[in-house]
Amino acid sequence: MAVGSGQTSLNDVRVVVTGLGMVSAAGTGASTAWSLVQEGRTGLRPVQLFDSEPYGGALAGEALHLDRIPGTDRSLQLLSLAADELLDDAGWDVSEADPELGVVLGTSQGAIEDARGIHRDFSRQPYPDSNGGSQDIFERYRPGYGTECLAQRIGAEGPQATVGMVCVSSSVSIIHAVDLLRRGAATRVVAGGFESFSQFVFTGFHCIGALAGGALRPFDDARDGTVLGEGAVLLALETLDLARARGADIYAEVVGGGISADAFHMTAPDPEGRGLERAVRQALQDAGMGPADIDYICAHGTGTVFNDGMECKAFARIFSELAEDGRMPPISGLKSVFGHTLGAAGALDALISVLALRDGVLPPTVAHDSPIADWDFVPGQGRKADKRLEVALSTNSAFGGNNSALVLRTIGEGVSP
Amino acid sequence: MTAKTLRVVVTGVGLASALGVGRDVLRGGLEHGASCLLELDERLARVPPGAGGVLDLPRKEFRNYFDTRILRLSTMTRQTMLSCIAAGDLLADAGCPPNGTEYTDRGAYLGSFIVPPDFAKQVKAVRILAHRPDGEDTGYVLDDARLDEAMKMASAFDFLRALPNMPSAHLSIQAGYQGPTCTYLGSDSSGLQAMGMAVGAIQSGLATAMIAGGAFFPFQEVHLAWQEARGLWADAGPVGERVRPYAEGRTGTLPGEGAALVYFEEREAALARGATILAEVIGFGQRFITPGGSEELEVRADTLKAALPEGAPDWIGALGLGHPEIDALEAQAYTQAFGDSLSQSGLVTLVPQIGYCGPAAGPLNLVAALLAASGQVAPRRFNVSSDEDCSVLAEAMGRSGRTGAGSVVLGSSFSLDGVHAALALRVGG
Repeated sequence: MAVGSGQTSLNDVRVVVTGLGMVSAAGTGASTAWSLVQEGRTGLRPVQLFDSEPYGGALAGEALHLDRIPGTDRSLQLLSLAADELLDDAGWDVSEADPELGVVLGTSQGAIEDARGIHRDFSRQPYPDSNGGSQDIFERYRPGYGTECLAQRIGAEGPQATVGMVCVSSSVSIIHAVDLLRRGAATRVVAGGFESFSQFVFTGFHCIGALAGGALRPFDDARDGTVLGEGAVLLALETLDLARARGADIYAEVVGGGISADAFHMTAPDPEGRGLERAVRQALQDAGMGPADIDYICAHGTGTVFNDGMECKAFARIFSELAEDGRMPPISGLKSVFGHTLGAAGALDALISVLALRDGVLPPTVAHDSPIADWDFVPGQGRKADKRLEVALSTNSAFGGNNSALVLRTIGEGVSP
Repeated sequence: MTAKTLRVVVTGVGLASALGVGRDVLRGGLEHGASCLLELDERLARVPPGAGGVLDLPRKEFRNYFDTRILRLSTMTRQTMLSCIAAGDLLADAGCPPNGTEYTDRGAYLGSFIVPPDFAKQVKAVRILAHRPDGEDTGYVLDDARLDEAMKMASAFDFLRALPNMPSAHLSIQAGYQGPTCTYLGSDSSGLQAMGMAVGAIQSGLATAMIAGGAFFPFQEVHLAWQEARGLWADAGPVGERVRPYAEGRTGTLPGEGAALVYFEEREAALARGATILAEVIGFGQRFITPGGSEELEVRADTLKAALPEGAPDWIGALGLGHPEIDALEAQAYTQAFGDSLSQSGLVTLVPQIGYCGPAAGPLNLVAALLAASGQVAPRRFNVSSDEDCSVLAEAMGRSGRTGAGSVVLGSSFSLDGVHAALALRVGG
């Protein structure tokens, strides 16, 4: 890709979503997850992977419908199943290698089960007895392994990257994928993320006091922490021109993205939410839109005191005029359904937003009784929107002060395939 | 994102490796030719290769590069620390030292290769649990139940500092940069990938300046064992002579830690602040191919041509691992991409001196090539006893290659996992 010359307007290239794939605590399949969301039910259950009693007990969003396969890392199992659905849904021809097909995935910990096993072996006995002669396990241990597996499977010989940005990993991966498409580095990209539930991360969240004592309650006065989940969520992104040429069904268009850093503190978010505000404003500018264009907000909503408070402060400034007029867009947080899926969380929020736009249904905030702001957090069950849902904003934030925002919209009149 | 065509320039470099910190030590190292590879201590020596390149910088000197009151060492992994040292060097070199100002239009993209997760402290906790009252450390023989018990002893910082985004998050705090920030993990090419994506961020109007590059810390038992299983390490011999890029007798490489960062700026913004422009970005390519397949060479060559379609560069910042097959394939890719014009090119790799620095290797070698092309250094090839000895390269670019200054620089990274990236620069701007 030559840079610095002959470049056309980046926004001349429109990027659309033509396929979805998802595995989560709700089950396998995007439609299964969407049903659970609309019904206002939760996929959170007591931890099954290990004994959580020494931690005081906890819930988790484990994909309990899947058997654990000995010798196969859980995160890769999740990713493979999501890819199955994605390829079927997108209808992509992946029979031949394609240098214009890319893969950009986010993950926080990658193949963590394998990693733990390897370290356990090393803790038991010194090298070389600890090696076990298994190069395969070492290979899976690499953070980019899952991305490579998917790229190999679909013959994606274009750009490939693994984004390690914890809770914003997969939303940033979508933004990078859109940039690759706009810049002509690819015509199709699989974007998203994957993460398995693990004792390592659970222990970490336990250490920092971020786990909920019971239910995860996004944007609720009684919120006291988050619940970890697992999943793999993938979106098939391609140029509108290509999608139209092949007669693809189009879910939505990705019209804007924003990434920012708080540059504030290693763990705590900027309590005023200024970093998130910048990401949102950047995404709106990228989309050529303003706050009044947003019909629905799918917020990060971890259920922690700091995150949800910070998010509300950011939204209050961005949408201040609308809020004063009582036109604040409805907001929901999905983690009380799926748990916090970390590296998959941003793509999960984007996927549900896409389905919300398709069906004109506002996703609910489950386990939400006492709102922390006088806004519509869509309590209870999903409901038909009062007006046509055309534009959704999906936001995420991470430890380290990283923020992301995506603007998605229904495909406009006159550009249907 | 803007519709304008934006030119992106390089206005600073920041380096940390076994050679030391900064451009001057790199230049001196390239010219004087000393290898900084050493035998590792007893703890790491039990896993091959037992040698590598380590930055020897006293902790008290860290404060020369970042504010240790804000960025606490207790919250850093070694590669986060390396990236912060390189960033301090970079910001000074670019004339943009941190001054408390917050910049919403500047960001940081970094390639790293964090081993997920960093269990080192947990393993240490296990050993503490196994410590007997009589003082004898039972070491590594434990059961799973005790490992779980030990994991619960981990502190919050053990977890947080192992998060993959921490290297770039620290950079954003260090510099006060609140624009786009990202850590790429995928492969050994992720440093050059981060640089290419950072250029894109500027051209897309997301930022006016970006810190970009790679950081790497390989000295962890599991990582060393994995690369040993891959057959990457060089055979035994005098440490300083083990890594012999492109030489007939090459047997493999040695690990090294390091970080290399570049300061990218939108050209008009750089000119407006009176910055010294070192180079201008002229191309970037990235591709993936399953390693070992019949099309691997073609894809590698295509990656190079994507970055530089108009013929051979004057200087190549090459991978140059010293590995029998990898070096041969790399040299073939240069030949396939640039043909006869390659005979006018010079090639530089730091691997024989500082070890293989993973995601930082591409950026490190790119900077070395930039220094060579701009006449700041005349690097010599290491551990190659004669022109004849270097046959794999002689076929590609003549016996000696360019030794003087030039104009066009190409940095390339041929990752063992199939992700390839290349970035092209033109000296000056």
